[in-house]
Amino acid sequence: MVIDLFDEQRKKNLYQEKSEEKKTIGIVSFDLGDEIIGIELKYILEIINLTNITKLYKVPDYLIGITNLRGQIKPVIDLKKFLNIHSVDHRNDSQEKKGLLLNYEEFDAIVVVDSINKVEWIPEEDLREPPDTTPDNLKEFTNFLVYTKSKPIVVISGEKILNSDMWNQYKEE
Amino acid sequence: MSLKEFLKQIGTIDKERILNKEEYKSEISDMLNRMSLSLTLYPNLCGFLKYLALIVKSSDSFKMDLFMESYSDLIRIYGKQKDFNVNSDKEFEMLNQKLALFSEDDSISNDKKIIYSSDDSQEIESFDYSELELTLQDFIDEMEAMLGHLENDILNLESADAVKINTIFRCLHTIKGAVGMVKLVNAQRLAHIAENLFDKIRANKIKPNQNFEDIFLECVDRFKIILSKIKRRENPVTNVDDLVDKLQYLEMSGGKLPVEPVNGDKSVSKNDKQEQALPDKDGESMSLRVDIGKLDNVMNQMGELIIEKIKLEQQYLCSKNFILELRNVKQEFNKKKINESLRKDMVLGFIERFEKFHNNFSNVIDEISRSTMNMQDSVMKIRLVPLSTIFNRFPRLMKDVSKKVRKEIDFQIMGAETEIDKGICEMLFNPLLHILRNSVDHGIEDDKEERIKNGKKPAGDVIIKAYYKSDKVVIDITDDGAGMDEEKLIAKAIEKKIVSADEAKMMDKKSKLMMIFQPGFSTAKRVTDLSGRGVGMDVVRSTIEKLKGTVDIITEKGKGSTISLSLPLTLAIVRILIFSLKEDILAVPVYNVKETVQIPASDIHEANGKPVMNLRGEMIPLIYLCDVLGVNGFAIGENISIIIVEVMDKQYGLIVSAFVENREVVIKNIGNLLKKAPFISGAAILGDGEIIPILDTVAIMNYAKQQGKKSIKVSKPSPHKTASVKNKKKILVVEDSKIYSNQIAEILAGAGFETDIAENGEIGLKKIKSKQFDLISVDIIMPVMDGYEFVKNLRKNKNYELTPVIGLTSMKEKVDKIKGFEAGMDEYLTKPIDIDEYLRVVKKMLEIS
Repeated sequence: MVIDLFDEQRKKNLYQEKSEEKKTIGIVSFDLGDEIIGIELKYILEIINLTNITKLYKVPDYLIGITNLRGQIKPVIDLKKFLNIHSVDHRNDSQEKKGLLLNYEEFDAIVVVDSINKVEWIPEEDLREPPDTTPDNLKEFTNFLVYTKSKPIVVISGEKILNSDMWNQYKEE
Repeated sequence: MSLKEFLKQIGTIDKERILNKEEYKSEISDMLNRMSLSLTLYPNLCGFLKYLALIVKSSDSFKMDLFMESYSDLIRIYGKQKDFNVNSDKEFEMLNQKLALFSEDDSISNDKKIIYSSDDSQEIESFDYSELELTLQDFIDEMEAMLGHLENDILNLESADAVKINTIFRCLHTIKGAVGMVKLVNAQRLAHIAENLFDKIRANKIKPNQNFEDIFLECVDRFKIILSKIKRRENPVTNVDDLVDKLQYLEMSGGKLPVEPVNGDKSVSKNDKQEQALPDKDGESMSLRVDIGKLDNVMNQMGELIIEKIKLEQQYLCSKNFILELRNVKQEFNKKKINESLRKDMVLGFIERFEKFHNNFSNVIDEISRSTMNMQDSVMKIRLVPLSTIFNRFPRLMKDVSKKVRKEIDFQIMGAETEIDKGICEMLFNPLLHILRNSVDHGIEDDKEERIKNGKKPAGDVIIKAYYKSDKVVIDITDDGAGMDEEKLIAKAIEKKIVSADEAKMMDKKSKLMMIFQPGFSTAKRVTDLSGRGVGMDVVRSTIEKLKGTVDIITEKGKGSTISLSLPLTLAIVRILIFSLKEDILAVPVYNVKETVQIPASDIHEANGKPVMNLRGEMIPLIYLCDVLGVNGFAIGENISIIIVEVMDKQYGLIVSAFVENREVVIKNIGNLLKKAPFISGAAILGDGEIIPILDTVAIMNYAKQQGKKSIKVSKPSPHKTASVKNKKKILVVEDSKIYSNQIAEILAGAGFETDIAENGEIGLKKIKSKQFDLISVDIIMPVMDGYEFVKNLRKNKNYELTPVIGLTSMKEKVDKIKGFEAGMDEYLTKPIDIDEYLRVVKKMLEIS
């Protein structure tokens, strides 16, 4: 379902770009505890239903493990823990996890989120600097803030997540 | 093309149209060019046609007149002489000279005089990579292949046969085309001139001599420089004037070299020469030339698989029908119309049919599994390339080497057709070259007379030979030189402080020979151009080990040496041992596994707070994998499964829950983000999609080592932990040999400790009562009371329950370490004493840093 929506929005965007020449930015918004967070569409390759995750050892708890995505192995990150968002987990483990496959340059990883809402198309001029009130744990990763009809969304950057210092110890061989 | 056809075509040229139509002009130009290529028998005519082809395109009216005039000449000569032959070809010579004068600035050539623009300003100043990005990889591949062939073929040019000459000619031609394609004008000019010269050699007009070989090799080098510049995305424009001059001089003089540079560009060319074709930094190139037969193989197997898929679908239909029938029968049965015996018959009939179906089905499954196996095999083979791809580069390099060190070398290659993974193949070049260089530089005797005296032929044999041995590829590099003298090697190693003299005494011949692979070891007395390149034999070994291979040396004094490399066919597919650890499934690569054992729990001993086991008299440290990985709730049962892992010449036992299986897998990395995941070196994906992490055996060993050190601190706290460092610690040395006891006392005194010496265990026991010592160093084998007895008695004394004890044994003595640990020793050290190590251990145990 979500993936279909995703594609349709992409087409819509293409059409929009041609007809109005007004630049819009696609943002996938999702729940993370009590927060609504967004990530720019350009960092997202795919939406994934996670089934089998193989755990790793002696890694921080935000690194859930690795999974097999059509023969390629991808790391799986618990985004809530990565961003230090505390909340009561309503889901149980048997429930299927939803993940977004993020990509930036040669790095990719699947981030697990609570539930994916929708893709929002925001005109570029509506992007706002994140306010000073942005929580510290999010500040580091936040790109900008957008106001939709319902609520402001903190948009975090895929680049900042995948290029975070937290990975330095694992990146180099 | 025959002359007749030629005349026919020449006759069809429409003079009127040439003057008026631009398209026609280029059409004629192409036609003339084509003709010139097919009439190679008549070089002057060829040149003439080439000129015409060039002039015809010009819009200059003067040149058009020239063309018309020449065209008439052409027709005239042909009309005059019905039987055109080589003699009449000469008539064109004069005409060519005339045309050459007029078209000098047009950068064309004929066979007599080469008029190529040598004006460097016309050369593109900066090379535009963005424009060529798509073709560049093809270009690099092609150039590499061609230069490889060329380099090899040009060697021994003097004795080359017609076939070889032709091959070289074709290579040069291809190179010319390739550099032309990427618009490297200078390089194209060089290729062109070299090609022309070769054309003459081909036609037996010039007899090649050694000078030709040298110059052509220089040309190859120049092309390599250009290629390496391109690979590094630098500006590849390179000056070639010096070589062009040399080639032309060579051509004119019939094989003599210019005594001094023909023109003043020498200084520029010298600079160019210094920039050698650098080795590629990235190592493996990303494309692969594949033998078409291999791909056909894969295609064939694919075809078979598809047929089997169809068979499988048929079986599926069968089973579907079967179920339908069974449902019908069920309904019939329900109607109760059928009597008992009929029912029985029907059931039996079904059983029979089902058995048949089952047989067919299992046949199909068999076929599919066989096909997929074959398929896997063929696909893997695509990655394999013959070793000749690197071996072919050696003859040339060996020639240079032998020239430089002035030794006559007879270099032979055997088994170059042996195939190995492309990735491995490329990594092998530098190590092999280094070994070969060493063979020439150090292996073959410096003095020819010495060889003759020993009944060898004057030229030294150096042979590189590759062959398969079970599932490995073996590469032997053999020389018939002086052989290695292990005593000289070990003396050198001692001198360089790689080993101590005492350690050296314990070593066998092989370990001594292996010294050449130690970092910092080089037997070359003089630093030559060859051996002083910074690549040592230690790098050779580490490269080979990185490729999961092994190195061996076989040598006989006076007869020569062989260095033997054994390598896996491919790195992509690896056999792993899968095991379980509580509920987790993990694996280790089989090449790291020495053996697997199951022992009763009672066979695990404690030594120095660390678990060990006795494997056929050897003490193997054990590692609880669950502790390393932080897996909770691991309980030891009656029988313990242990994997004996061997890495970097060290062994340890890995305690796991159970062995699962042993199978071949494709190893994958776990993404760029997690290149260095803790304790995991990669992962395999099994048929059901499950991921199995593969352990990093080295990381586990290092971790366990560090943990071991920590655990000593935690588990055996010194009773005098709070004592200040200023208070001199008291150490008792129990040692029967005066030499050692004095040495140890000296070391300890030097480090600020107070020492006391006891000659044997009994005296030691008396001494501990008179004074409280902080640490005791005890020799194991002593008269009156030995070390074991001493420590056992020591531990009975309440004041010495926790005092650290270091046991000392000589390397030669095979003492039972486990017995020592059980008696209560904390650490073992071997004699001769390594001062630093001894002090380190003492300080660690006393917790002084």
